[in-house]
Amino acid sequence: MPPRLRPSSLTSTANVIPQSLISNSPLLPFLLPLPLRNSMLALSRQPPSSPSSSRQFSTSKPLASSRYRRFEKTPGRRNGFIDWMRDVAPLLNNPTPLRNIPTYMSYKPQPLPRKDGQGDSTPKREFDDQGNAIDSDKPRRVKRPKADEVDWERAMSEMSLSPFPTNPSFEVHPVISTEFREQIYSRIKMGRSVRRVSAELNCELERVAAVVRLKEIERMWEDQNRPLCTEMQTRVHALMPVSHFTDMPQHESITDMRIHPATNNQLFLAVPESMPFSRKDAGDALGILPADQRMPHGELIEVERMRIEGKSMEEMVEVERQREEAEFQAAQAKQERVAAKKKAETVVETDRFQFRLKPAVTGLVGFRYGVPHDDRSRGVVKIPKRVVV
Amino acid sequence: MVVRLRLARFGKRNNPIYNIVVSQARTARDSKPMEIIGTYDPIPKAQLPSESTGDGSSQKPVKEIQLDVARAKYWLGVGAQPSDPVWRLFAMFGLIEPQWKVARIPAQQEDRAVYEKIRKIKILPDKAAPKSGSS
Repeated sequence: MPPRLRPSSLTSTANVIPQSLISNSPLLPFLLPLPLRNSMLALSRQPPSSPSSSRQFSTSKPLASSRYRRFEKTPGRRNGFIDWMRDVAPLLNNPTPLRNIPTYMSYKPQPLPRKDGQGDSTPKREFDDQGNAIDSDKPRRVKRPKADEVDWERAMSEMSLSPFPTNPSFEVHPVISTEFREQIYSRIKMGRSVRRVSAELNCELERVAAVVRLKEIERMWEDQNRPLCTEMQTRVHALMPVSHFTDMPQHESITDMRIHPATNNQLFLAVPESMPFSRKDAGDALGILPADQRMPHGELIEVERMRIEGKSMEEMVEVERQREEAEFQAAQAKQERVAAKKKAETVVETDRFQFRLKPAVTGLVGFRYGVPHDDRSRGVVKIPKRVVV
Repeated sequence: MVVRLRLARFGKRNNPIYNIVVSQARTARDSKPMEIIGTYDPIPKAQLPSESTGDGSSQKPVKEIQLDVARAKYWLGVGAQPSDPVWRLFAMFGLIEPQWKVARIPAQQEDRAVYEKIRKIKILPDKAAPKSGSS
């Protein structure tokens, strides 16, 4: 027979519920018989007698056990969290950081570096030494830095890739800045190819393409007067390292190559010692394209080769121009092919549907007979592999 | 035996797709035909955003028909008989006269006449209305 938790006939619960349970069980009011419950509730509604229990979340008196004491190093202050929220958090909650220095820099154990006019602090010694030397040559000419002024140059140089100041070993890739994205988009709008913009701005091909797609959507939304939610972007930019657009823009390495699955397994190949073994031979042995062709910017290899050969800049530019033109023509030919195919089809509009009538060739069109579907066989990918837009 | 132009059902349950075939009339629907001259996808597909013309003229769902028109003409010429659905498809390609005229067309034309009549009525400005302060 299961224990009866709520004996209605008994006035006391002492013989049903153990005493230890009464003290801290949250179910206590519901376990007690009705008259006792009312008196308990009335007791709990009374204002707290202890001055230290000013917290909102619990009115029970802290117990002497270690389990309760762990959160009560500073009584009533939640381990200093409330003070921190009042004094420090407003400083960090800054959507537009000064001079593009991320907000987390000011939260480091050493906050933002300060300029020191006297030159007695150790980290600022070399700058001050220079300043003093100049002072001796031309006395009272150099503007002495105001004491307690933030040294932004040093802050920029100290800027790390770690968004968590207390965990410096965790480094992230910087986020691309708004101006950088605008530059990418404007260059593409000028008619340059994605490949060229990627090489110009040192930003991966995929990222350039993604930036252009998102910018197009942004433009569309602006035309439709849809509000843009930039709050998230502003906050993230304030919290993360950001790569800014400079005269020598550098966002990431653009020639990183994806690991081909075919290269995961070892392959032993007997080759005569006298025979040179190039990347092309390696690709042939593995049955994949050579690395020069698989890498994102294969044309940069050719540029580097020409540079080593000592070709003049004009020659290199001419070669690049020809390559770009060939690329452009190939793209245009493909576009024309697609357009011609689309032109060959006629469209019949009915009330409900649009019928697309396409020409076909007997022998090539239709589903074959006697061929089973293999869509249930093992290893067939059923989810869509690409997005059709 | 009659040679027919008809549809042969492929695809799965609730997901049909048809071959437009030339076959002997008395053979089974999905048996091997004399010739496959096209396909017909009866399930309407939503238009892709990139396909739309942009002016919002037609956002109707799309049905796709592929047909080797030359072979279809040949088979019609030698007396192959299209089934009703194939007749309807061929009429869209302009190979044969439609079997049935759509009954709504006269009514639509009537509507259009009424609409044109209404459009021609000029709405004169109210003479009693005071002119703006510029005059």
